[in-house]
Formats: sequence, C-alpha cells, structure tokens
Amino acid sequence: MRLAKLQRVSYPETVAEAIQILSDKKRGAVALSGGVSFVFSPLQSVEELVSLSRLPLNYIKRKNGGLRIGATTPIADLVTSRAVKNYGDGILWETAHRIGSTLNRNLITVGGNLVQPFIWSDLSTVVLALRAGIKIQGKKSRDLSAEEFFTRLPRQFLKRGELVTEIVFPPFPKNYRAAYEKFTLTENDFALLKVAVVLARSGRVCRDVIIVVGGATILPQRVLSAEEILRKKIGSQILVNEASEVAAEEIKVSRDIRCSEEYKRDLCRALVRGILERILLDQKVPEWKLF
Amino acid sequence: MKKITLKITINGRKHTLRIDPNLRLLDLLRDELRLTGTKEGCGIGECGACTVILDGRAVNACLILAGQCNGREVVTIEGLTGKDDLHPLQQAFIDHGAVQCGFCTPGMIMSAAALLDQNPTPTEEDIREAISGNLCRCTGYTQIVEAIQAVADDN
Ligand SMILES: Cc1cc2nc3c(=O)[nH]c(=O)nc-3n(C[C@H](O)[C@H](O)[C@H](O)COP(=O)(O)OP(=O)(O)OC[C@H]3O[C@@H](n4cnc5c(N)ncnc54)[C@H](O)[C@@H]3O)c2cc1C
Ligand code: FES
Ligand code: FES
Repeated sequence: MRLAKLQRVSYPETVAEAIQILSDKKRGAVALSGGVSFVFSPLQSVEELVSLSRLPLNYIKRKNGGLRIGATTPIADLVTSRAVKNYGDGILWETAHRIGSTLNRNLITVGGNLVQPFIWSDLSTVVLALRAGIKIQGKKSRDLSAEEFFTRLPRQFLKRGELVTEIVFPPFPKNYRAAYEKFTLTENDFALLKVAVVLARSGRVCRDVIIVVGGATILPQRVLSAEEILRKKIGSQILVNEASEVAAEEIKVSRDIRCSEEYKRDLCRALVRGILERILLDQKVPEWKLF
Repeated sequence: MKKITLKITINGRKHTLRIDPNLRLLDLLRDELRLTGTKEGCGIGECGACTVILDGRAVNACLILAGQCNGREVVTIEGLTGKDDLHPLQQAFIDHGAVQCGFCTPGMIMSAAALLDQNPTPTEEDIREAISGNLCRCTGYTQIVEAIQAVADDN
C-alpha cells in the first residue's frame, strides 16, 4: 500500500508555516506539490504531507528581460503563458509543452519536476542550459545556480524544512539562440534522451555556448569538451560534426532498461548535431531528419 | 489508519467526509461515492480513463490524493449537465459514432469539456492536444475529434 503510514495532510497558507511543519523532525512530513511523483515512489515512511497548493508560489513574472517562476506553478501554465513563449527563443515553452500529456501538465509543478528528477525529467536540462537560479527557503534562504543545484540529487542536499520557492531565468540577450529536442518513441512517451543548447552568436561566430544532455543519467550533464570545440570559432559543418561526436563520446550513460548505452550515444550525436545545424548554421532541419 | 476530514465539492454538492489519508481521488469517487462513471485504466497517469475536472482543469484522478482536494471543486462525468438530459458533447459522441466499447468515453468527454470551457472555438490541433492524455483503443480518434469539433462549431 502506498503511503501506508500517512496520518495527516496539512495546508499551510504561508511559506514560513510550511517550513515550520517540514522542519519538525517528529512530524515526519514531506512536501506535496503536484503529488504526481508519489505514483512512482511510494514513500512508505511518510506520516504527514504538507500541501504546497495554498502557498503564494503560483506565478510567472517578467523581470528585466528574464522570468521568475514560482515553484508551485503547474507546467500547463508555462504552456499558456505568453511571457514564457517569448522568452529564450521559446525553449522553455517548447520544453514545457512536451512534458507528459495535457492532463499530466495540469498537475505537475515546476518545483516538483526539478526537486525530484527522474531519468525522463525535462525541465532540469533546460534550467541548466539557461543558467537559471534556484531560490531555496528554509530557516535561512539561499540562492543556488542551476549548476550547483544539479551537482547532486536535490533531495539529498535540501535540508529538512527547505523548500524551493522560485526559479529565476536570467535575461536572454538578442544575439542568443536556444533550442531543445527530445527523443521519445511516441509523442507522450517518457524521453530516452534530450538535449538543450543555448549559444551566443555574432554573425556565424559562436561567442559562447552551453550544451546540456539530459536522460543519459538522472541529472543533466553539461558537455564542456563539446562546448570548447565551438566557443569563439566560426560555425561550420565540420565543427558541428566534431562537437556532436565528442558529446556522444564524453557523456556518462547510466543503465536504462529501455535502450542500450550505444543507442543513447547515437541519439546524443544526432540531437546535438541537429540543434547546432539549426541554431548555429541556420539550416532548416526537420525533426525527422535528426535521426 | 487514522481518518482525516475532507471538505470537497463534487458535482456542485458540498461534502464533508472522513477518509483514509492515502485514498486517491479516483477511489473516493468510485468506491466511496459510487460515481463509477470515472474509470480506472492504468492507474499511473497514462490512459486518461480517470479524467475529472478539478477547479476547471482536466486532471488524472488516479494521480491525486483525495486529501489534495480539500476545499476544491471536482466535476465528474455524472455532474456534467446536472440534469437528466445529455450534455452536447455526449450527444455529439453518439451522433458521430465516437463511442465503441465506451471505456475511454467519460475521460474523453471530461477533457473535451474542460477544453471548451477554456476555449469555446478550438482548432483541430487544440482538440487533439486536449485529448492527448486520453487513450482510445477502439475508435482511432477521428470520430472523437469530429464530435468535439461539431460542438465547438455550434459555439
Ligand atoms: C504519465 C506521466 C508522464 C510524465 N511525463 C513527464 C515528462 O515527459 N517529462 C517530465 O519532466 N516529467 C514527466 N512526468 C512527471 C514526473 O515524472 C514527476 O512525477 C513530476 O515532475 C513531479 O512533479 P510534482 O509537481 O507532481 O511533484 P511532487 O510529486 O509533489 O513532488 C516531487 C518531490 O519533490 C518534493 N517537492 C515538491 N515541490 C517541492 C518544493 N517546492 N520544494 C522542495 N521539495 C519539493 C516533494 O516532497 C517530492 O519528494 C510524468 C508523470 C506522469 C505520471
Ligand atoms: S487510470 Fe488514471 S490515467 Fe489511467
Ligand atoms: S471506445 Fe473503446 S477505448 Fe475508446
């Protein structure tokens, strides 16, 4: 039986109240955001669930060319938000739009999706590529970069009582381009692999680039060696091929019963190459041609 | 297991219930309240047979704990019209042959109803997107999309 020891569900109205309940060791309480992950992890020892649904953390705000998104915002709201659609070449919108089904997106929240990444989770890959910041509130507040946040599984380093409250997406300058692609067997299926690339260009010169691969391991990985091949160089098919080759070789791949390591490396090569052809070389690469 | 108190509005009726804290919304509806129009297919958020409308949004009742719905409003297929007559979507499903075995039908109709509430004149793409979490093993979807489109056209 799932949640076999569950005794209570509480509904705090403020973040401070939620933190207080979650900090109390004796209560054995766990945060409940969309609640969708409980279908995958039965949490047998949990005695209390603290619903975050009444906290004032459901918002999307534009700020100085960036975005601030509250942790309890459902993914569906990202999909209907004009601000999200217009931000970062639409990369965040594209990612949100391809998470689960419409029904799932009405439940899954931004915070829940980031705090408990699964091998198929989408947001983490893009949050890392966009160099977003994560606001955490507990007895003290702390701000982490996405890079710091995803060095370990977030649930391992979040202290008792700490909540992710907001994701801060930095301004996205005009000379930046971004794209996200994922490979699924059917439209709604859990992704086998995904890639997000954010780069800065002047003409065809790649000034800066971040390449992130998700789904090869539970946590998203930056592929620094592939980035290095492109940084401060004039974009060309040879460089793009080289970078995608290196990305496919360098990523760590954990065991996944759904496909072989070799297959994931092939997917990585195809996705990195296809995205770079689109946003660095301005080629029109239809989705079917990626693979 | 110690029971918790749940205040919830279902199909316009307010309920105060004592429930097991780990009860899913789907079990509350089917087993406790006998609203068996909402179906259970997969139980893991993939088939949409359990679709209900929670505070205006179509969701999977198998993924939500009933305790998450305290103070909230749920509409199930039984509450779609509040009367004995059929909802235009139900009639359109009949007229367009969009029902075969019927197991997916309540969920399909709830997803469509939530869509039309938010967007009375959806495109075919909007319709397909709205029912993307509802699997049908019988019809091939064409008649379902046509039925929803017909109601939208009447709007
Ligand atoms: C059928 C199906 C398909 C799916 N498809 C995809 C997909 O394609 N891509 C994808 O990315 N995801 C997908 N998911 C969702 C994913 O697997 C997780 O279930 C989901 O992201 C959890 O989000 P949640 O808001 O429900 O979080 P919850 O389940 O409520 O919480 C997850 C964990 O994080 C903790 N937590 C939640 N919020 C906070 C917070 N603000 N601060 C601190 N801790 C917190 C909780 O205590 C819990 O341990 C799918 C899920 C289903 C059921
Ligand atoms: S029973 Fe809920 S989605 Fe299948
Ligand atoms: S009519 Fe049989 S599953 Fe849809």
